[in-house]
Amino acid sequence: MKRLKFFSLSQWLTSRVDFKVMLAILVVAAVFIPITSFISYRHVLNEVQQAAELRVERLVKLIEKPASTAAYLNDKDLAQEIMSDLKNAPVIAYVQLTLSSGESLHLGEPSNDAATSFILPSHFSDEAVGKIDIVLNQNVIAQQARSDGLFLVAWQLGLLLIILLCMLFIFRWFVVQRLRTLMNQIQQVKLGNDMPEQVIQVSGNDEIAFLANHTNQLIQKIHGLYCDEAAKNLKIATLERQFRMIFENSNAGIALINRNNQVFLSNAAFERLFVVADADKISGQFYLPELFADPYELEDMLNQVRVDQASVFKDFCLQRGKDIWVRVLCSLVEEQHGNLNRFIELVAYDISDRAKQEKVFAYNATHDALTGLYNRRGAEQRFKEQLNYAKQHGRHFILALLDLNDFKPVNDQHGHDAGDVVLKVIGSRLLSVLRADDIIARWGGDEFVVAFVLDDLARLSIILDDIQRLFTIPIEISSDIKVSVGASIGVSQSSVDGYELMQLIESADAAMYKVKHAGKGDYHIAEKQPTDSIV
Amino acid sequence: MRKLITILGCCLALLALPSAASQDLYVVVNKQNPLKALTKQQLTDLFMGRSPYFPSGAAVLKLDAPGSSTLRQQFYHALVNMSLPEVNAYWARLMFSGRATPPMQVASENDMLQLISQNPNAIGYIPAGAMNEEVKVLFVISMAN
Repeated sequence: MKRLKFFSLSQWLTSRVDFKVMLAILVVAAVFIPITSFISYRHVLNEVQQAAELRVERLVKLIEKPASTAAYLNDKDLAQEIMSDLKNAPVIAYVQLTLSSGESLHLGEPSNDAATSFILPSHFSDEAVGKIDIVLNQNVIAQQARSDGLFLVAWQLGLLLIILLCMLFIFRWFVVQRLRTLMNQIQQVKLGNDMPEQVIQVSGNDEIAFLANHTNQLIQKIHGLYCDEAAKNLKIATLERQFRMIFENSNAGIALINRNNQVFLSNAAFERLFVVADADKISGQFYLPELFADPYELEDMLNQVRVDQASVFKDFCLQRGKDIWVRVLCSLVEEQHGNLNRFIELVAYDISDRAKQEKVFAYNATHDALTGLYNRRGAEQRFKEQLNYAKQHGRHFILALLDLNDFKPVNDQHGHDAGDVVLKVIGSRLLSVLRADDIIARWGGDEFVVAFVLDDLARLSIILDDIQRLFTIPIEISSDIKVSVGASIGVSQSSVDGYELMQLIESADAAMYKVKHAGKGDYHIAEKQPTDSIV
Repeated sequence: MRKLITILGCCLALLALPSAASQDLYVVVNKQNPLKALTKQQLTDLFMGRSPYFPSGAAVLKLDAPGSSTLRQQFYHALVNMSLPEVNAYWARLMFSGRATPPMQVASENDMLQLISQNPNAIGYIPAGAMNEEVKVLFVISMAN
């Protein structure tokens, strides 16, 4: 706690520039004061020493006459008196007076310090009559020097403190206060449209005023940039919202596909259309072709787009339902940062409804509306397929053409509805006796064509008999009306006529007419030489 | 006429004064004194109180001319280059210690010659012209300069 307080105090001190300057000066002073003190002490010591020497010199000058008299007269009493007078001065530690007789008198403690000698001249001639040796009291001198030095240091310290205080106040007045003003002004600056021209102003024409002026300019510049940027941001945000709206609310599923055929980005419609799993949504990248009924087809298409660099569209059935169809439009997205990571933009429309419709159209085009069997057009297509299959596998292709006998009377007697019933019943009877792969078609008004593939021709007569038998059963038109129609059946086979459809049909037709001429309710299989084999 | 003579006498006296001042001084003792001569140093030591005896060992009676006489002034000036007040101050200072005794002052210059004539230990100084038979000169202080 104590430590925390101290820390905060130091922080408080260092956070203020005036105290920092004062601290710096104090530190510098703390370094220099001992040096200057030492120098001034040396100086003072020297001065005190010199002053002591001067004083001694003066003292000696004062007593010079009596001293030389005493030396001249060898008057010891007078000499003693003079010496004690001299010794009264505190700076003198030791006095020695040499008389003209050569005798020496001394007073005080002798020491090793160097003595100062003064020659005593005679009053009456140039010759010396004696000398005075004086040793200074270094202790007294040092003490005085110390006290003088201490006073000097104290005085310097006091002066320094006064100067520091003055500097503190002057600094605060000229710098800190104005800096505070500047700081407060900067703190109060709020960037906005209603900002005035001049937000920062400090009086004067010195560096701080210059700084304030430039700061003001800077803030004005920033303000301009800020306003521009804000306007730009607003525009971008609006645009972004619009684009986002287009992207997110689009009915078409839109997605970006990366190089690994993973979905990089997709919109809500895309996720709805493809029913993306939540886990995949979170991971963000999932393998797109898996969602299609035929993944390889989509992969081929994507690769084609990458190679050709052209837009391609194609309809696909989805994995999640056979009757869900999408039209997928793919095109390469040119990235601005080079071609390293090219995306494919994929737009998918749900075309299930249209696909169903198209299916119905296709069905209607190839099937007979009344009986539900293939019509002539549908049958021809199927025959070709089956012919190809039989040809490739070396099997027999059988084509039987059935022409109803006595159908016209039914129409005439019982109306067309009755005729329709007859046709329907025959169609369903044919379906019941034949295999699923066999083709049954309504060829014309009362003509049917049946085609099938056989391994063994021996079965042919059995099948034909089964078919013929169908026509022996009366057909119930209503509860009280029953009609019976027979059929003339002409049969052609690939082993005779080859795998040519037209040839087979012609042959079967010819065979059918033979039966018709011969008598109804029978079948005839076309032979190799049809012209020779007329029954 | 008498007035004229007085004036002339005064003029003569004025003319005679410089000649008297430039007269040499003789340091004289009684004829019986065995000393033949004295050096200036010895004379100074005697008169300034350093030596209480003659170099021969005999006691000495130093005689000084009257306090502010020209003779005394000339003597000390010539001997130690001191003025009379200085000489007086010198002796005044030494009176306390009592070790040195100043020369005895005589009432007049004639008394000095008379005292020397009577006392063999006496020593004094007289102008060169005042010599008599009873004294002998030990040192001549030349007043030429």
